[in-house]
Amino acid sequence: MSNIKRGVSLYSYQQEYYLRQMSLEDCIKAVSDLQCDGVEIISEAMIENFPNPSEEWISNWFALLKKYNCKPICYDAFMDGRIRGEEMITDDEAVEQMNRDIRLASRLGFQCIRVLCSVPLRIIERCLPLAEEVDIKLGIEVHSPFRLGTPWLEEYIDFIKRTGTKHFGIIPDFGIFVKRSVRILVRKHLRAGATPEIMDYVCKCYEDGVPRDEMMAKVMTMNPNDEDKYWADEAYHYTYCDPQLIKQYIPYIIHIHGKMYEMTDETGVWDEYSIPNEEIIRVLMDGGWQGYICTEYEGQRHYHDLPDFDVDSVEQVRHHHDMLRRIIGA
Amino acid sequence: MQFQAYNRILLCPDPMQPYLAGDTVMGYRFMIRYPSYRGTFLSCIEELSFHLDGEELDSENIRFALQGKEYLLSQLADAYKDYWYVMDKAVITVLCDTLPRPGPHALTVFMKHRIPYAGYGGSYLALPSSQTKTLTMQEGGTTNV
Repeated sequence: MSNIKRGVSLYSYQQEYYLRQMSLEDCIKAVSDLQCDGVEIISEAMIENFPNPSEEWISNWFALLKKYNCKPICYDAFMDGRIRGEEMITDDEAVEQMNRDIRLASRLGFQCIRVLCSVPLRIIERCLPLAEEVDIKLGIEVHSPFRLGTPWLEEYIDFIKRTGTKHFGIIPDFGIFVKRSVRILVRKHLRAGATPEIMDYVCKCYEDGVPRDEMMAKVMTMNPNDEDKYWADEAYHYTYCDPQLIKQYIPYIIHIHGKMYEMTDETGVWDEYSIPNEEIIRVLMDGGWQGYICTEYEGQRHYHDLPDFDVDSVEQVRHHHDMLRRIIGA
Repeated sequence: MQFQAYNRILLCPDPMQPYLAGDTVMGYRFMIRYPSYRGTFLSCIEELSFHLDGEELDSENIRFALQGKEYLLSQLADAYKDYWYVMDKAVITVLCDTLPRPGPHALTVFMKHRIPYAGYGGSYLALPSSQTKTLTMQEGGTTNV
């Protein structure tokens, strides 16, 4: 038994929500049906009249959480820097956007906020006083193509060490541990006319850690079509970090996104096809990490070329939790 | 193949409705949705165009309405404080003197929309979204103004 708890980012149900097959209540009920209580939301998609929900909406939000015994764990904020296109927003406007999210997250009872990986430290520093005041933790998302063990991340970690702040940390997204190419994406490219031999070759190169340039040079000798070239480039946008690397960051991890593209039981138990969850979570458990892993299902977008949206997000998330339960024992 | 987001539900399937002032034809209306899992500021719509039965509609005759506010297409770029909540439908009004004949028509929408949350890295995405759907032009009509 570990101190790791399970939850779901409602991002996972985005398709059913968007198509109005699931309401916010249905999404929260689906979390509760997994015998877990952690709810994470995409603020802008889920909050009616964002960023100014009515008092009625807020009352209903708390009533739903109570009805299904769920807790508001993480509020996913964005940072819309390019609302005016070429002209980037000013730092003052960025601080205003983040402070708006901190206030709203606090009103909705959240404990932490996912801060996009592109947000500079100088903006976060200016928002920390408000985060402290309302006792909300800000977490910079460590999301592909960013990685663990890089100068980019060390700048944030150094700041935490230097200041001793308790209101800023990191939120690793398990998409930084993609060991094998996302199979459902490969299949989508095949449907669009990619060459199977080239797809296989690129996947193998990715898995074996063959440098991108070397892979690309070889692909160009294989008479690739446009779809092949697109994939050769896209395949290397994914990231694989050694799971052992996460150990050194355990004191700074405030929350985790359990990224998931495709669940498979081909080995007799449920696992994510691309991400070695067991290996990663063992490192976290051995290090005594406490907190929520919220499933973030992102496979739905790789079926959008099919005549019907042929995906059941609820089922995919359920199998992700079958896997989490097996690993963490809760 | 480009990421397709939710392009196939850009156009709402409801019939195109005549837009009348008394007995006078002002134009017709239909609805569109934003093709992503999150909403957007209207300023992020970089291009919006429509074809009816293969013929491009003059952008000067098109109005975009959301949350009770109506915009010329050329005004969208400046609307960086107006948010399109992802569950809301925008109403498109095409001003014209003669309505399309009642019955089915092929309507195409093209939207190029910026993904504004990347950006500190220097580059950002603008996605092209397009959909063609057969919508029915409703006969007769109701007085809308």
